Amino acid sequence: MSEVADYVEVHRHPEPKGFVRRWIFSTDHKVIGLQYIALALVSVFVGMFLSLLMRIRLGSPSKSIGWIESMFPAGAPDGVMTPEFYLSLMTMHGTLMVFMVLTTAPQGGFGNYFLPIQIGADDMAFPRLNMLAFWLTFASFVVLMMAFAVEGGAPISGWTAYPPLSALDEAAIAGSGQDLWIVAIALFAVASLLSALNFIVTTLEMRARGMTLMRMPLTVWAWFATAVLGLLAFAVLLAAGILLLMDRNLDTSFFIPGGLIVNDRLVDHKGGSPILWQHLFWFFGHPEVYIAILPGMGLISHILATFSRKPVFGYRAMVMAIWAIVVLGFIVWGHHMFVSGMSPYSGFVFSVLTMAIGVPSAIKTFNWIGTIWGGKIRFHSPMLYAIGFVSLFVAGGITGLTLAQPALDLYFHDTYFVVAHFHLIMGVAAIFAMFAGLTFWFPKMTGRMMNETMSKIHFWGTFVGVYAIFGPMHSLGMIGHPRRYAETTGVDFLAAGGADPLHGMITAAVGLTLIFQLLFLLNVIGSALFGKKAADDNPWEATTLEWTTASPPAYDNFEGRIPVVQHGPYELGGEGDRDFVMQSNEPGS
Amino acid sequence: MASVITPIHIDRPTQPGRTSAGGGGGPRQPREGGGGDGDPGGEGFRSGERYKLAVWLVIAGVVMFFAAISSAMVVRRGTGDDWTRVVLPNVLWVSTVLLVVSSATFEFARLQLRNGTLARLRGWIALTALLGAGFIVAQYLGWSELFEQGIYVSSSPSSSFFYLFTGAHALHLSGGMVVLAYVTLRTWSARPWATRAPVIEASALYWHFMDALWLYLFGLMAYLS
Repeated sequence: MSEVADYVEVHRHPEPKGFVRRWIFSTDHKVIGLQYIALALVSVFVGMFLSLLMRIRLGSPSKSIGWIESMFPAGAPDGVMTPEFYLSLMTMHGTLMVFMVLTTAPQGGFGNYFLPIQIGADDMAFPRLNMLAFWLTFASFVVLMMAFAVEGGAPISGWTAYPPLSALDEAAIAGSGQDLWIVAIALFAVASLLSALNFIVTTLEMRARGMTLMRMPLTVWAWFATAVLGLLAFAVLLAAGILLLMDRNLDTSFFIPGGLIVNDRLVDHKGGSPILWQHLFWFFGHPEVYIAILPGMGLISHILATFSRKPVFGYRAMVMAIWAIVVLGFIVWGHHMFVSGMSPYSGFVFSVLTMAIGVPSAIKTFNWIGTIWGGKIRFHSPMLYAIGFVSLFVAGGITGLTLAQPALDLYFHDTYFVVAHFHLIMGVAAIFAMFAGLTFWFPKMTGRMMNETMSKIHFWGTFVGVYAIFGPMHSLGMIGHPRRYAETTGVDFLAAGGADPLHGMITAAVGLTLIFQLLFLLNVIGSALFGKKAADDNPWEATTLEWTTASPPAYDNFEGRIPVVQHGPYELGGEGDRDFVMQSNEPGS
Repeated sequence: MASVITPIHIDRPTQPGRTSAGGGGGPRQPREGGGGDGDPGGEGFRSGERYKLAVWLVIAGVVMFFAAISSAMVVRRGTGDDWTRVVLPNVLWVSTVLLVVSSATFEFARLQLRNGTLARLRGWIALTALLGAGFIVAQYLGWSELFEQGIYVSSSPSSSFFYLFTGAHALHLSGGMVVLAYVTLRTWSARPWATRAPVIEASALYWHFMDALWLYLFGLMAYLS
């Protein structure tokens, strides 16, 4: 005999009327989540297109291509992209992917949509603040894209914007592209701060009765931890951006050293330190890596358990590993700066701390394997993407241990080895988590299933494709191929090392992988419109609260109720027809 | 899984929901299990507590922001040989006194919150906002004093940091004043003003933090520049 109500009835807020209040300036966390996902989808295809242009430039450096000339007359006069244009492609590719894709979709997108539902709330703690955060992010995207249109074009200083390249027009390109970049990043930082605050308050204050901290799904833990990272890291990026903007426009010298000669002219600044920028930037930049990957880690734990029909192995250890990553993530930024001339003693400290992150990462990987070990695995597409994530996370993480050694990093730092490393672990792994999240939650968000055959084709094509792209880059790095160069024609040691066929293979793999992404886009749009209706509200037989709601959920999520949570998040694997227990009793059951 | 559901209808669930005989719901109490960390979970709706928590988080973010610039100041002082001393304008002492007094007047406003005297509450909050405005005017006078000496943002690294610190702080304080104006307006609204109390408590926290932040910045600038 239990002494427990299944839910508490509450006053229902009416749904706003009108298209604009409902879909554009909406305060509904689910609509805002979809807006973030849409923004990320647009950005990821723009970003991929930029990388395709980069591969074309690398693959055929002197070939004149008409359509590129007509698209970018200034960047590709006579159809051949200038080296500066290559650098601006690289800068914008990195900026779009890191900020507008990896930071928005896993946290702002899926986090917004599902965190309130998974803790049994009707919305975020501050719905209007949530709306403001999205529209600031959108403004940031618009300002960033404007950089392509202004005189001089997009900035060329990379997504890390190292001065003096980013601080002095005469060292890079004349024009306001870099200023727009800084303003875009500042807007993005403010939006992320507001959003992080909202996530933390929601998690701590809005949980339904019975949703104890240790009953939160690992997705919620990951979004919560990511918000803590964002709150502390983006404030520092904002400060750094303001200093850089002042250096560019108010003639201050925070980052520009004295005695600097550019184009045979002494620069009229003195006393600043470019290394200071690197410290401030990477104090943000390293936590940013975890902002991109932690939501994915939470989601992968969630999916591996659901599709193995087993509880998450070592739930408590998983939670502690998340927080260990948060804490360590803030004290390892120096490993991005081993070649900056830092003291070998500091380098040693940063190196040891960096390798220490291997411990919580290994705990997570071990527990992922423990979760699927002996499970009744269902190889639906979300599960495939989740397994793909683990593979990519391990493959990218292993080289992290290599690069954490200052002695090895001195050689590898400015080579393709690093490009391979961070793309696998931060880029592609996080993207696979997004694929997993989209296929997993698609029936909840739309009431329809994604086409399973297309998802599986897309999975295999992409999985093989990304290894074909980033695998050879390790070899390029080992023969000493520098990164960021538009062209290495006539460099003997690269030709002798076999760089040309490797580059050819990478470019071909990029083209093929891109086609599979178009298939995915087609699957998303087609399934949303014409997909097979989900059999019921819980097609994956999952346990968490979002699967007790309608698909898509009502405006206030639980239709005038707040669920009372009676169970842990992963009570899977029982005997009989129904091998799982949901966190709260479904209405009407 | 069948369970007989007899929910009670309450507008704001401050009491635990009525109990029902749970069928497959399991024998466990909702507040146990799941690791049994003794945390009762939340209440699933917006309580006034969220404002104060939000301000604590804002404080965390603002601390990181000013800590980043402070560390930049310490580093920058050591990297060049161009660090020149900026004599801080004396009017900053006036602004400091104004801001400290405004913290005290905010505390008087909070006392009225407990006594429930609405008119006096408005008066103290208005006085606090007025002192805040006075602080910003005094900061501006400090700026113009330096302008007259020909000291601008780019004159020296210490002047760059001076203008940045005072400007950023004034901007953050202005945000607090917007909240004060909002709170004052809301005291006229028909809704029971006691529901605004958490907002006033939270803005008091922010205001005192702005006060403390200024004392820190003033001290740092006096020490380093």
